[in-house]
Amino acid sequence: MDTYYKSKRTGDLIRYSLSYVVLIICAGIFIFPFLWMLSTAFKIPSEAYTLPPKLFPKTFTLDNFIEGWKYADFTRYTLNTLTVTLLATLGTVLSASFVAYGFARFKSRYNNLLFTAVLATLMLPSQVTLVPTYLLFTKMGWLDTLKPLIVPSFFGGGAFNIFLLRQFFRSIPKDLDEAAYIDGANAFQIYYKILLPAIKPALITVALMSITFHWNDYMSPLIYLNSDQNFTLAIGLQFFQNSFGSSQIQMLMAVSLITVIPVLILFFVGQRHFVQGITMTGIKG
Amino acid sequence: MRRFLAMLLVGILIMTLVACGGNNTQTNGQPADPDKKGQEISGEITVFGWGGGEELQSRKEATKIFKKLYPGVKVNEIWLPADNIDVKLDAALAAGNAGDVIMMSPDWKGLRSKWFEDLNPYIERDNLDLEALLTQGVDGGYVDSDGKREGMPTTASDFMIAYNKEIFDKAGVPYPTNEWTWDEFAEVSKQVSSGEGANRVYGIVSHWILQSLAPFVYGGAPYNEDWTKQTLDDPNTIKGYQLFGDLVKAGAMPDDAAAKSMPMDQMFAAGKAAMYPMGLFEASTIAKNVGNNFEWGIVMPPKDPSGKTVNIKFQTGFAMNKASKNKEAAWAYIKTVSLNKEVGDLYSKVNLPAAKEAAESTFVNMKIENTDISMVDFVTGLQDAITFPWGGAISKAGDLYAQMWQQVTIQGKSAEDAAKEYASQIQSAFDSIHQNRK
Repeated sequence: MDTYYKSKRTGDLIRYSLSYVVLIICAGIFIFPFLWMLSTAFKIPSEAYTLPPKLFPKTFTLDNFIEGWKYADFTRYTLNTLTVTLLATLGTVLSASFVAYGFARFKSRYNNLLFTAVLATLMLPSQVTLVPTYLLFTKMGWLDTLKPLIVPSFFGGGAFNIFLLRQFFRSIPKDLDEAAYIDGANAFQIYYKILLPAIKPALITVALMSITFHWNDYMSPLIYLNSDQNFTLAIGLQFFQNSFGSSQIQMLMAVSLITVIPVLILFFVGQRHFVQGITMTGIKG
Repeated sequence: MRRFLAMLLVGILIMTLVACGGNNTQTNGQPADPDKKGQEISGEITVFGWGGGEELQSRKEATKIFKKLYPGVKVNEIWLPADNIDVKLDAALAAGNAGDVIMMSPDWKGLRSKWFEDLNPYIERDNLDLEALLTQGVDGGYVDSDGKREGMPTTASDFMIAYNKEIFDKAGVPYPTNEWTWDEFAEVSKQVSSGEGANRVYGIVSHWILQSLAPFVYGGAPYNEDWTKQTLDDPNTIKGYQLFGDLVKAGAMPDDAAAKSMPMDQMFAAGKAAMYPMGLFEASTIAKNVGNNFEWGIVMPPKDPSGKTVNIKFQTGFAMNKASKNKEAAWAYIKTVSLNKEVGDLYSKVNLPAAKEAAESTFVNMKIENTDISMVDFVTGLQDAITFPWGGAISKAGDLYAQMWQQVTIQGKSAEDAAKEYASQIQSAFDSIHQNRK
């Protein structure tokens, strides 16, 4: 018996050790670009290109942060990005959950057809709709305002989010709805008081994905914004590159580092719910 | 809970209203009046341009000079990053709000021609002698084959070969001179290469501009002047491509794997390549990156068999939107940022100015930042330089030329075989451009 347990323990140890070795190697590969960004942000220009690359700068400088931040109006860009991200995320979470609730709980003859139509929009490349939406927002007088970046989120919140939340709603027993009906709740009260609290992990997942998307989105602000006072961080960072792609890499890395910190913190805070949300909806592949 | 929700919703509404407050710009209608003097020009124009770094800063400063000269004109400025700007510009042109003055490059080759005003009548009216006013070589490509002038130049950039003196010294190879030929270039590239594997030092980096130089190095060309016919099967064109294929085979230029291992400017700055085809636009960045790592110099690109230096130029200028409602002010802006000496002096800090006076006084006396390397050769190099050949309407054919280049430099095919494979496809691409334009 002792021998059995000993060999099992040894087997487990080897298995776990191997798993950790593989995980550490993978983590190293994935974290390298981030470490390079971190290290470059503190280097003087000529050090960024030494070979082999040095992780710790020989001449440590904070100038890249100071000069980089002053290079453009990054304080304003940050405020604009925060505004867009927070409002668009709120819109996404509210409207996607509302639409998903409809698809998950209400039966109609066209339910499947409508849901297929929603999913079909996932296959439409964004470039195809770009010019028509640009014309639409121009006609509405929304060009060079933050409206085109925020308001559409309040109208459905995106097909993928609707799909994700619908799956989550469907995993919750209908008995809960029926019990609430018997207690006199209406459809909105069931959505708001019973189901929304039950799908918290999925809502957090959607919120995190939305935050990451809107924080990093470059194309939409480029298309809809014209004035420096309205630009977002993704646009501002591109100003470090001239039209031939040549860039001031140290300043770019320094400011990128500052801008990536809020998203990183948010991800670490919400990662437990994020993993739970992904696992429970069965979209982890 | 309800009160909290109600307050939250009100808060969101207020934030949305505050956040969405922005300014839309409109241009005032102003009839063109040729008799008006410059200072009397008034109204409003929108300038649409892009870029980044010091280059963009200089454009903004140039606009300030214009405002000082034309105080009656209100200028709305749209300055955006260059990345993906084509998508934005096409959408803005289609919507009719791209501005009165739009940045343009002659390498667009007719791509947005229908949107732009012919500037010839303005030039004639103002009696401008462009040959006397513009830096030699800066103006090529702005005039269509039918004589329509689509824009006026502001700046240009050409290429020099930057070389690492320490690697040349170590190999015992003399530094190149402005008189060298492409055969000598190939020989030198091989001589200064050394080492194996990760320690390999290459003669020349695998820079993206080499693909554009290749067809011209032995006097060939990728296509004829009005881009109706591909000339890939010209023996001199084939010979040019083959030169670079041979350099890869000889290990004097990085193969695909080595080229992907690090950015090419990093390879040169790290002393892993002896030569780098350096655009004027990246000279100060290269200088900063090299720092005190090694001594370096620049030389003109080699000459073709006829004795002409083979160089590629990138030009930037401004065009007038046909839909502009204030064409007089738009023209005044274009003329100022193209020909004004003060503006040219400003541009000199980042590029070669179009204004001849500025190029020949301010620019030629400048040195690459933090070095004692003179800018004079960039001016000389521009004279015979060829406008970047793959832009605008040519880009579809350009993709095929790029594939052909990869066949030679990555797959190791002979240039002759690759040309046979691609010539007809490229010809079809040219045919379709001209069919679409009819």
